[in-house]
Order: sequence, then structure tokens, then C-alpha cells
Amino acid sequence: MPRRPRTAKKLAQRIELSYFERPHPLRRWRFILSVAVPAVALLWLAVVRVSGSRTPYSMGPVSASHAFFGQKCSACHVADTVSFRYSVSDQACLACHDGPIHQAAQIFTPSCSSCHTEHLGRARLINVSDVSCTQCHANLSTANGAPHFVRTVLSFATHPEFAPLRGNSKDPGTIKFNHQVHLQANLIGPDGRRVQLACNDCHHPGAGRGLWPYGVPGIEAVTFSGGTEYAGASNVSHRSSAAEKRLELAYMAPPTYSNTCFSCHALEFDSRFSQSVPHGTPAKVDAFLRNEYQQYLASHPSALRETFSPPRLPEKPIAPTPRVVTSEEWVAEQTAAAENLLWRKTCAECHTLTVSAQNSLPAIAPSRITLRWLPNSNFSHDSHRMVTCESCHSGISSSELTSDVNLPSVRTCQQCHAQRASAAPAGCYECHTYHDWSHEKIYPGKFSLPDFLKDSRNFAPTSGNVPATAAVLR
Amino acid sequence: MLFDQTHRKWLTATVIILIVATAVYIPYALSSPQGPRGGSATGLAFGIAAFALMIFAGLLGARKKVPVWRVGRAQTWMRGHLWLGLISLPLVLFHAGFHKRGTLTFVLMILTFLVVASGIFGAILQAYIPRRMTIEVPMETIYEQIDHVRSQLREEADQLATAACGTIEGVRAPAATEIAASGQTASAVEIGVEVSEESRAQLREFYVCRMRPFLNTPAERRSSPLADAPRAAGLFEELRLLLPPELHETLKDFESICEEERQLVRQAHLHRILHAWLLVHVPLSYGLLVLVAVHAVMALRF
Repeated sequence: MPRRPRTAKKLAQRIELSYFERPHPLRRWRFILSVAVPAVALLWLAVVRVSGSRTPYSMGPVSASHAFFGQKCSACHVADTVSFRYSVSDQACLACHDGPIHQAAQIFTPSCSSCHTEHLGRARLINVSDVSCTQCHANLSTANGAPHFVRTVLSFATHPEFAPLRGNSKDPGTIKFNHQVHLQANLIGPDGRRVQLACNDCHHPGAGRGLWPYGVPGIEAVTFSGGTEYAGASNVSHRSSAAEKRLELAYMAPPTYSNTCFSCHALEFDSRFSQSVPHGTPAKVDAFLRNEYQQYLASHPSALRETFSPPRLPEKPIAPTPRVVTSEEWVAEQTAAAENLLWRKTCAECHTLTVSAQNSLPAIAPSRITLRWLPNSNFSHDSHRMVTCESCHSGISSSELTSDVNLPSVRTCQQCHAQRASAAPAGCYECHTYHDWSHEKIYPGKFSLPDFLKDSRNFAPTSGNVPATAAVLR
Repeated sequence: MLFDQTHRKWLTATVIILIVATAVYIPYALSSPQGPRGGSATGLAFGIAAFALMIFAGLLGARKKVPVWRVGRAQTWMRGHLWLGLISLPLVLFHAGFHKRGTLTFVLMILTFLVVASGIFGAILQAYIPRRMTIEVPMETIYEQIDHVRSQLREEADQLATAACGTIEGVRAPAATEIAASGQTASAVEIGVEVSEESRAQLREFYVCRMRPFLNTPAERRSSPLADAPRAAGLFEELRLLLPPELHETLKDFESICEEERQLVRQAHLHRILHAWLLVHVPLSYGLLVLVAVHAVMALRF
């Protein structure tokens, strides 16, 4: 029999009726902490506020370009007139930058900050997401009817073939050149020695790669920065010398006779002369020939009595026959013969010449060498210098015609540039630029140095100038 | 709180909200020019929804403070607090676009994770500990009454000890009326059974040196051999062999008191586990709500 019965009466005695009046330790601590934690949080914000920093509210550090006025929030965040908001308007951006429109026929102009996102740390503001482009180019519409470009581009994986490779496009160049022949082994080179040509013997970037091995001895490399079609990979007016250098290395300089052909293809015109005619216009060649023959006659007067025979190959000389002509007749005769050889054979090897009338100088078709095959995009050969030329220009060793377009296909680019972890970047901005910098307006700044240097978060310009392009954007 | 059939509707609603939110978020994230951002219309919608759910979850405290409010059953509020509070985390992540941006937003993200994690931990404890307490502490009392019950146990033990062993130094001898009021039967001494002085001394020594410190001293409640049920049973078994049968009933009472004390110790321990997480969850929740309000104002302003 239990000696400690747990009767109702006994259990009732256990209850201390005033227990709820005593503080419960857990509840007390919960209350203390519930007051303390928000108080500490607010105290932190108050201390930060008093110290003048707005770092806690910032969504992240501003880009390196804007870092020097990163604490001057009002430089970009402008008060709205009807609300308490301090939003970033395009006007704030256009106070310092121009933003040329993309296309005259565009039907939508995004705000600056929708593409160039600030407060992402040191990320470059020009690294724009593909979605910024595909919001229009996924289903392109223009203000004036059907789009000039491909209507649907979703990503680089679905990028259409480059325009020069679509359909039956041909190289518009008129210089007759056979890559297949020139890339054969054992070609006869300068001084009769055997050579094997390589791509970079004739195709150089604009600068920084030394002399041309088959050019005129001592000739300097030409400077070429993309040609006049260049639409700008960056702000042209602010391009640094380093950027200029990068551009010069980006594109191949157009091959010229003096750079690439001179050593092997001498412009000989007469076995009696060691020098070649200059590589110039027919008028210049004609003047050169007349001058050369006049000088020759002055030093060889007996030539007037020699029977004329048109110049032939040096190995098969024809014995001169005596006769009598005037010096003018002799020079004209010799010049005509030399020009006949040049126009019909030597020059015609590469050029297309058109003779419109008897005894007139021929017209030479413009070479029409394409400097930039893809003028709406940017490309750097220098950035791709680690790969061989043939790995991209794969058909070059079998190309026989000038009309062959030897541009690599977009499929070649897509082998490396893709949306995967181990691939080269494939963003639109890698090749394309939104703003048409050829329409950039240069305008005077609106801030003074004290505006930037004064220790104040209020940031206001001393004068106001908004570029004309800004008005277009509005 | 048990996770039973009554949670099925809440679970279903939570999953549906999550699916809908994900279905909205994925195309939004893929089509946003600079990625998902809290300031965009969709991002803002996610943020507002998450903040509303946080406020609702926070109102559970007010609902508990005023139980007479006719705004639904407390259990319903608790389930809503649990599931809607949980869904606020993915909504916050969708709002932030899974990015850590500024200092304040980073702090908010950390607080959100801590609040939700502590809440999940608490919910698991709430489902597990009460069942364990029912099994391990059959003599459970109101937590706030533990000290009061403990003093009553001490008093009862003192009465039993003085009745069996005579006057004990430092222990107040109970009056006869108190013994009668306590309802317990008379001791061996009072019923006239002869117990040797040596046996009384042995029982007195056990009570003074082992049992009373166990009942009196917080440190002894953890380190005493009586704090461990098997060791305590062994001790009492040894005493039964040493002491005459006349004192065995008193030993049984002592054993019963020690068992109740052990259960009180266990109950206090389980209670602390059951409620200590609230010391993290509740203060951080208030801190989170305050900072979210500041964040909302500043984000809308800039």
C-alpha cells in the first residue's frame, strides 16, 4: 500500500495560485531580447546615418568608373517632382554621357539603367545582358516596315549565318588572286629561291608586327584601325592610346602591292632597264615610261637608227635592224610597246583593265578589297592569335577565285563561344555595340571640379548642357 | 504541435504558392535584361508578398497575447504562422534574385534564414519533445510550479525522515497536526515498532548526506547518484538489505520522492529545450520586421 497517496486534495495543495505573477525566466529573456535586437538594429542604422554613410542602403558598390563620386547619391538619384522617390533618370546619365540611338527605325528605347546596371561592384557597365538585346531582337519590329536585319535572334547559339555567307554572296574584290596557288609549296620566290608562303606573310594586323617579308625592303607596316566603316567598340572620342593600339591589332591591314607582292612580282617592262615601273595609276606609269625612254635615248643616241622590235623576254633577244626615226617618234614607239606589255600582261595578271579608245590609257577597276566583312560587329584578330589562321579560315588553301568569301562561318565561332561553363563568352556585347557612336555628340561638361571635390552628398551641376542626342532619346 | 492530417491543407496551399511563384520567377528571371532585381515590378511583387507573410507570421504573438479576439483559432494561426512563414523564404529569394547585394539586404537575408531555420527547428522540437515528455515525465506539473512542488517534496521528505529517525540537525520536526494534514500514514516509530539506534543512524546518514542535498542543491540534482534512476535503485536496494523491514516503507517513500524529483529535473530540462529556441526566433523576427520596414522605405525611395 503506497504511503504517499496522490489524492486530489494533495495535488491541489501543490498549486501555488500566484505563480503567474512571478516572472518566468525564459519569457523575461525573450522580452528583453525582443526589445534589444530591434533596438540594436535601429542603433546600427542611426550610427551609420550620423557618420554620414549610406552604405547599408546601397545595393552594392558602384562601378569603378563612378567610384569617385560613389558617396554622392544625388549625382544619379534625382528627386521626383510628385513623389518621395529619388530615382535614376536617363537625364542623370546624359548629364555626363551621350547615348546615341541604336537605329533610326527602332520602336523602343530602353532606359539607360535597364541595360547598364549600377551597384554591381567592379563589373563593367558595358557588360550588358543578352536579354537587353533580345527584348527587341527576339522578334524585331521597326518603325518603317520589315526589319533590315534578321527578325529573330535569341542567343549566339541561334545566331544566323553571317550576311556575307548567306545565299550566293561573292567577294566584290577585283584583284585576281588565287589563294590555292600562293599557298602551294616550292613557289619561286625572290631571287629565284623556293619559298612556302604563310598567311601572315601577306596578312598583318595594322601595327606592331614588324616588316613585310615580301614587301618593298624597309617599308613600314601600315596603320589600319578598322577602316572608315568602323562603328566603334568604345567611345571614339575617349579612346585611349592603348585602345587605339588594340584596334590596330584587331583588324588585318589590306594587302597592298608594295607590302606583299613586290618581291616576287616585279613590274618589269623592258630588258634594257633594271628597274620596274611604279605601282600606280596608268597615267603615272605612262609618265614614268616616257621619262625613262627619253633618258635612255639621251645616253644611247644610236638607238634611233635601230629597227624597232617590241620587247620580248630577255632570254630571246632579237637583233636590232638599222633605221631612222625622230626622238619623239622613238619614245612614243617604245612607250607604246612597253605599255602594251604592261596593260595586256603584267598589270592584267591582277587588275581588270578597260581600254576605251585607241591610244588612250586604260581604266583600272577599283580593287574593292573588303576591309570589314561584318561592319556591324567588332572582332579582334589579336584576341584570337593563339589559333592558327586555317583553323577558322578552313577553306583558304583550296580557294582559287577572288570571288570566294573566305570568312569563317558563325558555326566556327560557335564551337568556342557558347553558353556553357567551359566556353568563351557568347554574349551579344562581345561583338556588337548598342549605341551608334558614329552619331556621338561632343558637348561641354556641366560640372566643375568643386562639384566633385566638395565634401557633400548633395551634388548639383554648376551649369546645364544636355547633348542633342538626349533630345532624340526623349 | 503534431504534424497530422490537419496540416494537409496548409501543406497543399504552400506547395501551390511555391509552384506558382516559381512559375512566375523563372520566365521573369530569364527575360530580365540585367537579371532578376528586387526593384523590378515582379521583384517588388515578390518582396511585398514576402513582407506581408512576415507580418502575418509576426501577428501570431499578438494573437496569443489577446486570446479573446475572434480572429480564428489559435491553432489555425499557428499553422498559418508555420507554413506561410516558411513560404516567405523562397519569396524573399525570388525578390532578391538569389543575389547578395548591399549590406542591409545581406543582413536581412541572414536574418531571414536564421528566423526560418530556428522556426523549423522549433517546429520539429514542438512535434517531438511533448511526446517524449509524456513518456518520460508522467508526473509532469506546470513548469512554473516546479520550484513550489520541489519545496513540498523537501518538506515531505523532512517529515518522513524526522518521523523515522528522530530529530535531525538542521531539519525542522513537523508537528503532529502537519503529519495528519499531509495524509501520510504514521511512521514506524510512532506505531511503536522497535528500531535499533544503529539503523536509525544509517537512515539518518543517508538522508542527510545523500538525499537532502539531492533535493536541496541544484548542482547535486545533476551529480548525485540519486539523479540516475538505476544507480538510485541500487542505493535503495543496498539500504533495504542493511535496514530492518520496519524502515522499508520509509525507504519506499524516499525512493518515490527521489523519482518525482528526477522527473522534475527532466521536465525542466525538456522545457528549456522546448522553449529556448524562441530566444533566437522571436527576437530575430522582431529585428527582421523592423529592418525589412526600413529596407522597404529606403528601397522605394531610391
